[in-house]
Amino acid sequence: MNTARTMIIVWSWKHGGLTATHDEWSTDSDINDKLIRADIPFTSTAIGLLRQMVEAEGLDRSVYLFLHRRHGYSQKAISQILNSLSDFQQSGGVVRSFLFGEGGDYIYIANNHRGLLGTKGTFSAKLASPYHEKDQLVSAIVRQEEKLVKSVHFNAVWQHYSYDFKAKIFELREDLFVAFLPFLDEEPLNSSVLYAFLQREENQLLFLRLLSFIGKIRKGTALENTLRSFEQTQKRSFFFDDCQENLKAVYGVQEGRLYEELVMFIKTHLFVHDQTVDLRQLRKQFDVLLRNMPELAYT
Amino acid sequence: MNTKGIGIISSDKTIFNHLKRRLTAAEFEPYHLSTPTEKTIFDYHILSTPLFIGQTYVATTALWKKYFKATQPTTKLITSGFQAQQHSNHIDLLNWPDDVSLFLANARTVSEEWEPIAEGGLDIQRKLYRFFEGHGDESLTDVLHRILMTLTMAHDEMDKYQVAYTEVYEELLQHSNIASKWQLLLNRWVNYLPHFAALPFFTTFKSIDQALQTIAPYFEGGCTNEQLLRNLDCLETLRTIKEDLEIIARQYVN
Repeated sequence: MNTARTMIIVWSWKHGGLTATHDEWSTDSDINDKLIRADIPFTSTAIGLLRQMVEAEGLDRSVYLFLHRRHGYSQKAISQILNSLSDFQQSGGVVRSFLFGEGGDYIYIANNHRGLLGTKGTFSAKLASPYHEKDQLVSAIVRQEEKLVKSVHFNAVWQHYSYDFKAKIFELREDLFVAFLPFLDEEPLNSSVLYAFLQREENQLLFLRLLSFIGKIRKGTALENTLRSFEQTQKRSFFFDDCQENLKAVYGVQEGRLYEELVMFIKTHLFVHDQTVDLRQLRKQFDVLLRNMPELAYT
Repeated sequence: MNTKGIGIISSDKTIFNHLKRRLTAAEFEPYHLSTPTEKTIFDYHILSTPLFIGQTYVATTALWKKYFKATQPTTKLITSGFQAQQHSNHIDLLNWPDDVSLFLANARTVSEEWEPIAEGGLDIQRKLYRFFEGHGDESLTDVLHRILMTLTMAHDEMDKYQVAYTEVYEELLQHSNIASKWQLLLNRWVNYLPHFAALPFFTTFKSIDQALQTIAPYFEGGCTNEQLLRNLDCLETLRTIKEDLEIIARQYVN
């Protein structure tokens, strides 16, 4: 991974005073970090614009591109943007793309006091604290006029998203096997029994995460809204809509294939009627995928 | 020594119930240990791993091994989880031992040399190290020491040299930006605290958290009120916190 880092954050910055399509901020650390604020709704021209912005960062920087779902960005948009950058990546450029918004994303100060995004297009938000009677204003800015953000906030967000994909897959694996534990006494396991179990109200979140993992949650549906509200209340990220495209584009073809194989296994063993489910095989497929993602799940 | 009792450390009811069912079938008596553990003596402790703490899966085995080595050196700590690894002290929940009594009998004690399996969660040892290290973006002790040093100097000025608080405030406390250092301390504390639940020393951390809440009004008021400083006993409270943290550091970090 390159040491110089750029975050491009597409968000509602115009509410916070951004007048151009984008501008650049630095951090108060010695490291050559850069944060680009951009307020670009998803249109056919947005892909080209974002591609140019990423390529302008050059090959010696790592670029994280954060895309606000409310600006129209989706799994499909990520796929198109990363595809447009395939030459750049083959030349050694490093870029990852994340969807965020309307949920429990780490990038928001409201969910994480070391986040970057505050309220109404700003870098600050008020947070309740058990140590203070009044809400405390948390700001990610050092000096507005110098366009300087705090490196501790930049680092925390960068670090979190460096591990985000692997952590989410790892957590899904753990939660799935914990949920299935009571059935181990009844082996061989039957898919219809497990599917009925997953559909119970107390397992709704796990079921929706699994649906998102296999790409079965469509935009604008009740399922999407429900999973989003789980994100809001639990202040965690549950969607996998930005995961698969990044696996292919960032980690490589093999990792993308391993993801697809795992998705296929789940579809053909858990989401079909009356099949025998081999949990050890399911674990093996999770583990092969996770082992091929070289970073740790957490840091 | 309770020869059939087994202490179980788990953050999940489903896992505990599963272990309880399997172990009871093998004629053991499993007990859930609310963490931090009670002073109950068992031959065996089973640690569900990784533990789900503070919205994160956390790898805690190395810390628990240190804790038991210091408090119950002959006990056997056995991890259990979904890691497909064979290890004398690990039960793969998807491949339950045919004879769990024999498995437990063959496991090694916490005093013997063995490395825990790769748990896959957040490495809490590393997190703890960063918490205690002298410098860096995440060090809590660093900023605590700086606040403590400033408050010690402030008390010396007032109590030894009879300098008025208003003067101490203007020349020392305000100048050294102590209120913003306090905010930094709280930010770092809030960041760490959830990850340390379900660890052997969490009772101490809960007490420290309570102490921080008690003295917060002085700092929240911008450190301008001498009565709050004295009535809340801020200096002594921070000294106690420092000492408590040093005890934990000696046992678990080095």
